[in-house]
Amino acid sequence: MEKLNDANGSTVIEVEDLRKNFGDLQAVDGITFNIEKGEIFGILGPNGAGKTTTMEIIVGLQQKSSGNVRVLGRDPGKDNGWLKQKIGVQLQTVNLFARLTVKETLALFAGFYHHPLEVKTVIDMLELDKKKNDWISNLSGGQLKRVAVGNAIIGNGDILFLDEPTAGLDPQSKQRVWSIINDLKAKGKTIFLATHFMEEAQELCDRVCIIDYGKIIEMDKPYHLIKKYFKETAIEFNVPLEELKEKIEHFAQVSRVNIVKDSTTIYTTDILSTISQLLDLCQQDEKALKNFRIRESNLEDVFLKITGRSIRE
Amino acid sequence: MKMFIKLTIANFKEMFRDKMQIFWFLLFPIVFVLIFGVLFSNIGKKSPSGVPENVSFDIGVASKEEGPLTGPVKESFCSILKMAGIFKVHSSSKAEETEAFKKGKRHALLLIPPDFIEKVQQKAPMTIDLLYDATHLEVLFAVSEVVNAIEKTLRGEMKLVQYNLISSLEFKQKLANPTSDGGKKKNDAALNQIDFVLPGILALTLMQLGLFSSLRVVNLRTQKTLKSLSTTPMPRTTFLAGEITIRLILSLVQGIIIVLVGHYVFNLTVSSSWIAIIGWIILGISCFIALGYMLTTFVKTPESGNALMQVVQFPMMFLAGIFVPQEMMPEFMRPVVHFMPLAYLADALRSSLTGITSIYGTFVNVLVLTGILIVSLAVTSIRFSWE
Repeated sequence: MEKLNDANGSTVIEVEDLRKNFGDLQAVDGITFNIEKGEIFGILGPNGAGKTTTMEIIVGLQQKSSGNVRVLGRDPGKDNGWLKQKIGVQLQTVNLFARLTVKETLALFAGFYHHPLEVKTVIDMLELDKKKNDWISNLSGGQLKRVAVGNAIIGNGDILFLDEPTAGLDPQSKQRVWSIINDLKAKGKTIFLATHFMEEAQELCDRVCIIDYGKIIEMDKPYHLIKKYFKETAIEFNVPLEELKEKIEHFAQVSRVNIVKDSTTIYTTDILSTISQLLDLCQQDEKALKNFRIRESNLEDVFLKITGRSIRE
Repeated sequence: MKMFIKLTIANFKEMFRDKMQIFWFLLFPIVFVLIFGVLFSNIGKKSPSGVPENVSFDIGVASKEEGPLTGPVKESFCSILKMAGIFKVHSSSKAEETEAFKKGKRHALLLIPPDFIEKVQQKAPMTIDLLYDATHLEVLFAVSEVVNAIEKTLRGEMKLVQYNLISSLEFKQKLANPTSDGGKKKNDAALNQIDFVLPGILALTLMQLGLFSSLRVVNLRTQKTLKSLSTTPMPRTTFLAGEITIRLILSLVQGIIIVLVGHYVFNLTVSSSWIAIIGWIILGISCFIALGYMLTTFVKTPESGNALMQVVQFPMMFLAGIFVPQEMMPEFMRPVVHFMPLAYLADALRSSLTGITSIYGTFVNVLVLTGILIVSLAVTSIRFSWE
């Protein structure tokens, strides 16, 4: 509680050796991290990695099996409502009263908090003005997700928990949610973001924690992680060159070749030389390279390198 | 409190924006009452005395032993049966009457011990054989009432004047305990069959509303709406309180619709105060809402919840004396009735609506319903899960 009043760089969430098992399944297996005030902290991992379980324990929806969790200095498992006034939560699956309008839903949730934001402010922020009098049941997936994010922010809490806020959204809606999250950060909110979109984590997060099978594999700033794992640039095209994989791996500057589904990624320290060798090889074999592109390495590549599998698998 | 009111209003909106819900909410009780009202009432058949004019039963009276029934025994039975106004009384030898009964010329045949009067005065046990036409069960009622009354009179427990009672009874309902509180009984205003059935239907409706209302929570639970709500500072108990308040209001409205339709369409007798009636409706619905919530703690999905509710409500529909009075049930089934919570609510409503003497008594009814309410609440609070 004292920490709460400390404006600069104080820890708002402490998680220490958190464990949760469902019978034999170890969903969360010894996770430790701290989140500072004003930070966007991403917890990143494939579906079933333990992101949602971790988040639900932190917000007090589930009880931990062992370990220590403190949010604003309090144990969320024993919260009597004080903590819930200070946080806002958007759950992965959104289910609201089907026949309330957007405006009514937000007003209902606002009514649960001591110092809520104005419903109109939130509607404007989410760009839901045209939809405010529509029933929840008539909204699209993207609009519904935005209402859920709205419910999380309307309480004007200090910490926001967003679980897959853009899953299933079209690119436009996704961009909109991202800009809302950036706005919230600008207002000084701390944001806990669970996602399996590497791109999203890279775009938004100050720090990411990559988890798999309930354990933390890496935790750092996205940029640091990429620099740590890759000095290479990626060459990518939508043709699975299984039969040429071995030959490409023998190119001088190529460190790795990954083939996932119908696309091939080649990591190289010398793009020009690799490309010219690759084109020669393809000419011999009469292969056309579809959708050929060159890009910097990203978190997705990091995940692939650490775990040996794609996050989307 | 602010949260509670907001949530309750939101819940109301949510429910009543579903047009089908409003439709069923208003129509269900009306249809229910109309169907059963038509089935059980006798609109347009009433004579000024309240007795349907076209109803008349042929009753045979004979001695249980050989030889004709004679003296005061015959006299009292025949005259009292005639006084009831709905019987044509025939009296001859046992053989002749039995023959007439076999040929279908008698709706019922009473075979009476010749020493009936002596035995009654000595309070000695005896049996009267009552043969009856299975297609006219109602005659059974009326006749047994008459015999009852005769017995009571002979024992000096009942004044002759009160024989009026029998005619007003008119096979519609059974007075379980004619000796108690005779002054309050309706002697002139005829009770309709609907007076028996309609309070039962009201009880049944309340039971269904109560039991099935808890399924909404199971629904919200599986749809994870409850989970969304539990991330907010709103206490879960506020949510439950809101749910229950809504159900109370809804069932009160439905209950009143049923009573009004019954009263204005089918001449349902409304004898006691609205306060008492509303009191019983509230106690009844609370009891069944609590029972419903308790039952939902044993299921995980709305489907299994629905199935469980059906299992609970079905026997009650038929075994709680709603459509068929206990007295008409086979002997071995009667004890079952006493285990049906619905029987007590139906009894209470019947007695408070129409003034028919309660079978169990107000105290027992309150005790049983409150008991179920408290036990259900206790079990629910221990077992209830939000996820």
